[in-house]
Amino acid sequence: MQLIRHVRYVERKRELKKRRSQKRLRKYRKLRTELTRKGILVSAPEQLFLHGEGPHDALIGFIGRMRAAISSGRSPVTLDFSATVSLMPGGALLFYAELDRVLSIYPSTSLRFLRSRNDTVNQVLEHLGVYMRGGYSSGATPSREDVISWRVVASASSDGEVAGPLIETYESLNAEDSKRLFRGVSEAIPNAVEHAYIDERGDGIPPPPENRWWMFCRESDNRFYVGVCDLGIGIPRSLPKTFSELFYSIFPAAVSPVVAKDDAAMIRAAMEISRTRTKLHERGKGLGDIRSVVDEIEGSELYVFSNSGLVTYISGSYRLTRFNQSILGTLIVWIIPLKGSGHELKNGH
Amino acid sequence: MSSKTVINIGRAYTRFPLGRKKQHGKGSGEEFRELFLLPALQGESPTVVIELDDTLGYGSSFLEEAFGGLVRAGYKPDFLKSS
Repeated sequence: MQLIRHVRYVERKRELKKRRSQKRLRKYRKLRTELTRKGILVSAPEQLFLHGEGPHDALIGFIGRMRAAISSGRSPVTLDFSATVSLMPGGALLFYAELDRVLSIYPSTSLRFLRSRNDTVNQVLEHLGVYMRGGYSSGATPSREDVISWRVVASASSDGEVAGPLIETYESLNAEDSKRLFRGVSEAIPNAVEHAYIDERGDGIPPPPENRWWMFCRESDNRFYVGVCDLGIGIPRSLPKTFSELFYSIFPAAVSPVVAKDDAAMIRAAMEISRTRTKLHERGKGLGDIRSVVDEIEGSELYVFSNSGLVTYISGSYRLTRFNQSILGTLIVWIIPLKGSGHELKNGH
Repeated sequence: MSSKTVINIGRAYTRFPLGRKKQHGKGSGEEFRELFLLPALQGESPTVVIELDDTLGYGSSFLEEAFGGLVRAGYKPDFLKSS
């Protein structure tokens, strides 16, 4: 008898859950229809993730549709995160930077959101102030440690007073690794400011009032992430211009249209150029300092996305990846293992 | 006359040196050279000591512009090595 009661209870519960789910779905569809009728609805992908052909293209497609929707002048523009279940640091930073950029060009855009069904995603979007850009609150309170550890800064100038304190806020980093990361960032940011915006981006919308770079840090699962992003012309387009004769003398193969169109090969070339190979004045080390972070911290990783290429640098080895779609800019991500000394010592453990 | 001039970059200039040209932002190598290095080298002290501690670190752009820029400003490497 008790068993029968229990089975009925479970069935009833399952039925209620199904009805609630159907009700939510109907409500969501109604809202979606209404928003589409009034303005434009842009659906975010399941993952904001740049690795792998599928997720990469899905994210770039979403960002492109978002840019087109906001620049179209139709209002409101609704960003639909209902299908999004995960946000990875690189993908999230790229989205964040694009949203910030396009809203700086079209500040009067009426922006709306459909929240994710995933609480962590909502926490991140609340914490980064994304939902706030549309005056929206999902009701999620950022509380997870791997959410509240996300921090983002942006600037239009090479300003160490912006980037340095961000790194210093993390007690989990030891002093040596902080210095190494700052050295890497100290090359990435001037590169963005001096070289990324020397020509039109080619995304079909007017240029922003100022050309920014964005930087984020995050710690999660004993790993520390640092990313620097710009939305400029990308390394494959800037390298031949900024290094010009030097570039072609070192990499004569790049004159070939085949190599010149291989964005991953061009990023790799940028990482190989160093001052030691020239006596010309005022030449930096290319991306040498960016790479040295990984050479000096065991177990660390470097990802350089630029336009449609990706160069991964781990344990002294390069891996080149070519995507179909361009991120229209550059995103550099370092991942280093946290040794834990700083935080643990500071907390007396 | 003091026998040496000491410049502690972190305390005198910035804890976060970054970048090459002052037109691109604060804390640049060019600004440091103009505000600190050149006046020190033009001063009466025969020796200039640069303390690199007390900053979060240095990128090569800052260092090259600050110190390599002295050579471009006309200082001979031999003179700089003896200063």
